[in-house]
Amino acid sequence: MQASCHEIFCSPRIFCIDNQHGSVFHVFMRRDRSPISTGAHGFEAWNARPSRGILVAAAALLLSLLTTGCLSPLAKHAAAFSAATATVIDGSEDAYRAAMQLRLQEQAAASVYAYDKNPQWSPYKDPVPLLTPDQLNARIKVLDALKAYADTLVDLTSGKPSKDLEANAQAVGTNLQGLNQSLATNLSTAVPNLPVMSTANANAASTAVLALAEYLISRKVKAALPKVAQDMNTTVTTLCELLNSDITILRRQADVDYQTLIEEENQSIQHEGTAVSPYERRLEIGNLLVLAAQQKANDDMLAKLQTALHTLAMTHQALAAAAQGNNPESIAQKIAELQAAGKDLGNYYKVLQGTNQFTPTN
Amino acid sequence: MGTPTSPVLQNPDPAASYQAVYDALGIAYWDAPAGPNKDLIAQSQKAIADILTQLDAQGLTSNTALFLQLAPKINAVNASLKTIQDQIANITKDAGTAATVISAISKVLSLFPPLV
Repeated sequence: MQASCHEIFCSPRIFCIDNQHGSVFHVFMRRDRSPISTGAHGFEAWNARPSRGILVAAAALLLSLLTTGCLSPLAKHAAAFSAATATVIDGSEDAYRAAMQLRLQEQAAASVYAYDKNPQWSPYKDPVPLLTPDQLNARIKVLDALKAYADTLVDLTSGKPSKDLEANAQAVGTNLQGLNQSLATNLSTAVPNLPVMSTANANAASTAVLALAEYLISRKVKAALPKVAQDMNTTVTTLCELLNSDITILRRQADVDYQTLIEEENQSIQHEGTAVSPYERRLEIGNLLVLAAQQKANDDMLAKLQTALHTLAMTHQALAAAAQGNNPESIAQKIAELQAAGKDLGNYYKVLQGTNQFTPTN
Repeated sequence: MGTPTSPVLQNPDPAASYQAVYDALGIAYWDAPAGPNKDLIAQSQKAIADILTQLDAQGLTSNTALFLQLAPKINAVNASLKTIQDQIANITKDAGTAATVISAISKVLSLFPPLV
């Protein structure tokens, strides 16, 4: 592949594939035919002997098997790790946003009571957010970087050739076929009945190039991945611990915000007397139930998120070990736990979304 | 039996201690009948809620600094993954080079005059 044009055209190894197989297709051993026809002869022989095509296809298949065999278990783990990581990270980002939204909601409700009691109350005094935009961004950036890391692991271990690689490999076969066809046309008078390379053989050439490139890629990934995963392991563990610490704070703050919201609304109901209609009163009391259900679902979801974060750290550790060929049983178990944690988390989001409304019956 | 230790002294995490008091007052609030006592509990809870919110905001601010420290580490690993991806792109390009070389051979060979 890397040979220069000079080597290709000037070296007697021009069709060394024939040489190595002991056939007498070598340019300098077949002076009774022109170099061009000898050049074409390589393909002629290829065409004439189906075993050559079969050999190429077999070699390609073997290379493919080697390639996929090297990476497929790791690829599966990386894909499962990435999917579960995405769920956990999306969950974490949603948790931050939900906590901030809740805080604003609580501050809006608190303003209603402050309006009567605090003479300095003003709508121009900004409510204090739980996290400033910069603080939230610092978290989102790190989380997104971790997601990008997990996605890249999938790309590297998937063993799927890129579209570019497939196109390039296909071009090899097409060019080989094109070469043979043009020779057959151009030299039809000089060399009658020059056979044209079959599509099957052109495809076999493409497959061989593709398999070789895949093999090289697989070797590159296998050599590099253990170090990358190992380097990242401490960072992932630290990040998960840090997120856990954040979630502990968010859980506590959500508990305070929900309780305050509920009690402030309850105080309002108790003190408003007959100022509201019975229907409005039922709506207000119903809203207390909605808030209490949201509080419980939110806390359960954050607890699940903490479990998932712990499992994520453990799974990455197992993935790093698996990349080095250690303890394959452990990674399978951890992946299953992480997937279960991710699924659990997804279910709680649905529960949370279903606790937003209360419709009083008349 | 000595004097019971304050929850704040038992638990080194002040936020956790305040939360315990806050939650206990929450139970008391719903147990109390409507009236001045209930209002008083609500006011006390609100005062503790303000302290807790401040402590939580401080905790999140401290964590932000740690998050910022982690970012370069993750970015460095992602950069090394990018290097691997670039190397893989080179392998892909080499397959493309093969296609180009073969195409060039094809063109040159088609110009060769047949040798007699």
